[in-house]
Amino acid sequence: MELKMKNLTKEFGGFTAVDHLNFTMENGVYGLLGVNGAGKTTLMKMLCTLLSPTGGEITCNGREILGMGADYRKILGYLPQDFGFYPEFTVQDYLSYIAAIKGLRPAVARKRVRELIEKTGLTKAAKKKMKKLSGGMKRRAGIAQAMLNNPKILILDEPTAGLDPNERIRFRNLISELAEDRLVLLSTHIVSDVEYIANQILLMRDGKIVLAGEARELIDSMEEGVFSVFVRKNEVQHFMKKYKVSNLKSMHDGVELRIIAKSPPVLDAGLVDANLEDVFLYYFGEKAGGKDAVV
Amino acid sequence: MLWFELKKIWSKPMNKAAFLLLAAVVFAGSLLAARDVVYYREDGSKISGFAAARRLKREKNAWKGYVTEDVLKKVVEENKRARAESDTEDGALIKRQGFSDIRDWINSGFSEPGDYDYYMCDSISAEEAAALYEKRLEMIKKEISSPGYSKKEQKFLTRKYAKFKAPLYYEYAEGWKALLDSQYLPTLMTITIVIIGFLVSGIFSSEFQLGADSVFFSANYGRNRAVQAKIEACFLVITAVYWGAMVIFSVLVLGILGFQGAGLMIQTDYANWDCMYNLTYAQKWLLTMFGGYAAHLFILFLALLVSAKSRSVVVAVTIPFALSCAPMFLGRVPGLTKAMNLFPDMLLRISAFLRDNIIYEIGGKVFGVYEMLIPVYLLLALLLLPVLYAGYRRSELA
Ligand SMILES: Nc1ncnc2c1ncn2[C@@H]1O[C@H](COP(=O)(O)OP(=O)(O)O)[C@@H](O)[C@H]1O
Ligand SMILES: [Mg+2]
Repeated sequence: MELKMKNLTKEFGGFTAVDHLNFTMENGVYGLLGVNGAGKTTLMKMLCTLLSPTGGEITCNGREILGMGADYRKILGYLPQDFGFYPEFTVQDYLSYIAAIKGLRPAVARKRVRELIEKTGLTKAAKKKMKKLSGGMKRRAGIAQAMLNNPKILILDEPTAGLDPNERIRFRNLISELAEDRLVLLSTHIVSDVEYIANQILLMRDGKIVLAGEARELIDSMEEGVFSVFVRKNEVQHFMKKYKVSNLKSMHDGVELRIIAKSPPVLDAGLVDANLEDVFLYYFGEKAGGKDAVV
Repeated sequence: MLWFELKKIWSKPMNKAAFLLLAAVVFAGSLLAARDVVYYREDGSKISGFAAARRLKREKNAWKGYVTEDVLKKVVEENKRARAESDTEDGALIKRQGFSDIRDWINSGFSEPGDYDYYMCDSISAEEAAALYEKRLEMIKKEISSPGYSKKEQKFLTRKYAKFKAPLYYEYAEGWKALLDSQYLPTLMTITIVIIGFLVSGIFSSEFQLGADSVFFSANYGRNRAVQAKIEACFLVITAVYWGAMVIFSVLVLGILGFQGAGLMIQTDYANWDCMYNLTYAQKWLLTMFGGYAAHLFILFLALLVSAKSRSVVVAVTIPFALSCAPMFLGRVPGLTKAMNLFPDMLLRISAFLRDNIIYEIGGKVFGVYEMLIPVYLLLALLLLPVLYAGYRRSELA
């Protein structure tokens, strides 16, 4: 499976949401990381043939995906960011319906729905109406839906957004489990999500993929170091203004700051190992995911 | 897929409520329609509905048969006797219930057009009344030759009226008259179209409203068979609910008042005396029902098309309402009347407007408005389907 984007561009009016993007993906898990508005959803909608590009093209094993039509949709699974459903349907009904529009034969559909309900831990909720599900359960129904046709290409738009820490961990594990032998692209603005499951990380900003590679490569690509600095409480403001601070930890007699800089900000600063969190801050100039990043 | 589309409709509590409302309207409507049939007992007290129908059936069926010259003469004589034997007009009315229909023909036949005189029969001789059918033709000829009609229209009307066969056969037919000559059926059709509009309003637009569109359109069948299933679901709901409501309403009204009279010509109700359509009540029922069906298909698929484009549920609900109700008011605006007669809502009111003999000359050919509107709107409804399909399957998601 090879998904290739060539000069892929999407403009809304005068605004360019995806900007001459060139990238090729093969089987594996790709984590698309970017702040809100970076163009992740727009890119994914184009990959799902829901939006047509204003420029460039997407090919799947050499064939243009819009031209492939149903042949392409057949191998596609998509969990949208704003995942909507039919509120009065039970989980079972919902999945059976999606199985039908995905073209599964009834016997296959029944088996597949049963399997996925089990796999996503929705067995107890199978007869519950979709509108009665908790946020996490809805998301699980969403991923079950995406997996129904056993897609070769699985696209998950912010699959962990809005989940509590426990749900998020379970969700990551589920995705890892499902990721075998496919091309999975998942977007997030939470660094720790991709840190654990993605083999390849794509950093997206202003409609462009500014950097791509494995976590290690991304970390090594930083041209600045990460320093651990211990400061007094009244000095924190000063440091926050002057440096990129990727983390701060309060202690009883001061604050430990994690600072990204070319050279040690203070004499007794200790050089520490950089992580993806730092990479994110380094490239985007702002912190990723706030509280979520702790997980 | 079709099954799930139907389930989407049925699973909405509001739709269940709308459906129950329609059921209630059908039942209430049939009772009201039946209640309009009244019978006056000897003592002047009035009964209605089923009880009245039973008495009227007995009295009217005494006149069952071809209404020949002899029968017409007899009606005039009986009419005079009824008046002579009663102290008051009301008393005479009680005695005339068996032949009041035929008495009305005579009133209509001999009154000036548009100036129905209830006492005409009282002042006419039996000999004069015997010429009722000739009188009808004479009146119609006079009407047709008025300068309002073009040569072609005159020829068209003459041909239509020539097909009328005298003498008329008569028997009890209050059930069919209550069903097809009253305002209840057009009103019911207006209600069914609005309620069905409500039921199907979400089929296309709610994918967008619910945000279920992304999953729908990225699915294998999302841009072909699943869209087709939606159209089929609409078609099925329109067809089943419309015919269900109409058949139940008809069976209830006829069940209460009697099925007898299906083969009678509609001219046996004096309101239809001048009607150019030579139809039996059973034929008028079919015409009315298929006309209404054509209007439902056209108006509802138009509403669905616009709502699929605009992605709005509200549009899907307002269009049937606007198209079925607004022309009633607009039609009164002078100058608009002629155009309004071509609106699809006319097909919801066939039972009431058939007698108005509305005709059109288009491209040198003359049509009765319904002979033209039914096929035209059926065809238009059919043409809407591929447009709806093609438009919806190409939806882009913003
Ligand atoms: N339909 C649209 N019309 C106009 N602008 C849009 C539309 N969809 C997205 N955008 C803009 O494109 C940019 C990228 O949006 P999006 O792809 O949703 O980003 P992300 O998913 O990374 O948060 C945003 O600035 C957004 O406002
Ligand atoms: Mg997004």
